Amino acid sequence: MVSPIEPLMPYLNTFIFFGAYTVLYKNNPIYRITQSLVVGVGAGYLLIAQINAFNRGVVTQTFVDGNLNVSMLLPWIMGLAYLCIFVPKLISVYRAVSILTLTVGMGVVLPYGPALFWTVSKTYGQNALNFIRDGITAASMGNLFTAISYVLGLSYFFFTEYASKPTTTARSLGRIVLLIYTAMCITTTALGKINLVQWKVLDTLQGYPATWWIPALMFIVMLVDNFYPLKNLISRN
Amino acid sequence: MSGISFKDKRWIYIMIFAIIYISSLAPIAFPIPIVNWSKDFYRTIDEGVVVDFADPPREFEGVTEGTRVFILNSGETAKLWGDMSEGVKVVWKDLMSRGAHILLWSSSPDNEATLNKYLLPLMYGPEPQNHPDYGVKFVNLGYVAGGNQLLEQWKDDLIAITPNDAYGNNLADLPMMSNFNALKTDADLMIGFDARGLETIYVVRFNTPLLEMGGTDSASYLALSYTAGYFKGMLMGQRGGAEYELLSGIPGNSFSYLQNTLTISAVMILILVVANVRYVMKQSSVTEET
Repeated sequence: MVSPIEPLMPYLNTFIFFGAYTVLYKNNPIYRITQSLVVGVGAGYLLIAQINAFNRGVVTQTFVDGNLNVSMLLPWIMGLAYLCIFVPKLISVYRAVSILTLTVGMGVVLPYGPALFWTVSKTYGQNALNFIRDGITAASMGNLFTAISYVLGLSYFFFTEYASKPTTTARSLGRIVLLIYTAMCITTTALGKINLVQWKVLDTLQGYPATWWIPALMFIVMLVDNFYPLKNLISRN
Repeated sequence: MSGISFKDKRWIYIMIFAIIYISSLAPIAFPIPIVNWSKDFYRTIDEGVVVDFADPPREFEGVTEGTRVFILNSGETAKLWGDMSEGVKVVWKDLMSRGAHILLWSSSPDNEATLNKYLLPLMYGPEPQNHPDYGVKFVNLGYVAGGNQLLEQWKDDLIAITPNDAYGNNLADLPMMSNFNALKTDADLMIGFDARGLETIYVVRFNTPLLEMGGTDSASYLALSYTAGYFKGMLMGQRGGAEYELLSGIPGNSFSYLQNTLTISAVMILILVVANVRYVMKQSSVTEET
């Protein structure tokens, strides 16, 4: 079923997106409306989505063809135990299921850490020697450079506690590798964020209906406000 | 009334709007080289790949009619959609045109909402569950909680753990699911949307070919898994989408987005150079005075 507010969504969508950015000018009513809407609607949506997931995954599966599915009793018990967070006297029940969930989750995932580390190290080591087979190419040199950077980066973490001379150079070079990596991450993150804004701008220009006038109007309002504070219009004096 | 000087931080607000609007209205075209991870992404879909982490190696022969593709909408798709939208669309179109059987899972409600709003209506109409392809070539599991632990269980039996799809249909009744259940053997290809979790283990333990899509800012850390051999290709940001459009010949909007990005980048570089030159000149004049 299509939502009755669907025709308003493109306008609301653009308003919310660019309203958030008006905080760059200053904390203003448009930003505060946007903030409240995003937090309120977002929280409401997440709550409903989780209830829907519980309904699909647990409630509808508890009785299948009129028979009780015994394995589904566990999520019911766990779910009810989680609700004990709201009952101070039963807070230990909540803690018990939290710890149980956490430890089971860690038990599943933790062994993969060393496994991933081993496979990554092994693959980097093998790829580093590709230049022997492929000769000196951009790709083979890239693999060699990656492997060296990987070792230097690790040495910074593993040997920082041990200030003995044999590892000093490796640690210093490792620090440079990590700094370069951080700079690359910051650059790509900045570009990624610009891409997000630009995508929305193009959406306002090329989408149907075109909603480019909403951010343009916001911008003009901010510009006017800068020279003539608009709150003067609603001042009691 | 307050004025605005060149040192005023409100210039940032003005410049963001000016640059982005100018680049959107008058983009500059630059030639782009296609990066290796994008070429590998397309090559894997088009020609296939051999994955040999475990014995025996698995030979994947590319996406053809009936290839079972499991898509993990499990990263930060909701946040990054503006940067990965066109790439996802063009790849999805390619998978559909090749006749792939696509099984979609979302790991969080906001990721599910993003695809429900921006992708599925474009591909399957306003009610995807009523599209002729639904259940035959496409199944949407929707948001299913459980993350990595869920994937660990799905490797042996998906339908036993999750009997229904996003719309309440019984998975066992859908034709496409008749041979798409134990993911460790039944998933011919996995495509992660900015995913970075247990699907990597599928590659190492079961030799499942894995491709990755993400935003521009995901590239820096996802590249580590690409160079380590886990990901058999990556498609990052609007640039990745544009590269895939070039490689596949499927028309889309990525290229116009990319041109805008390049224009913005060029303007930003110019501003940085001018600001730095100005800073150096100012420093030298201060030194001369002292």
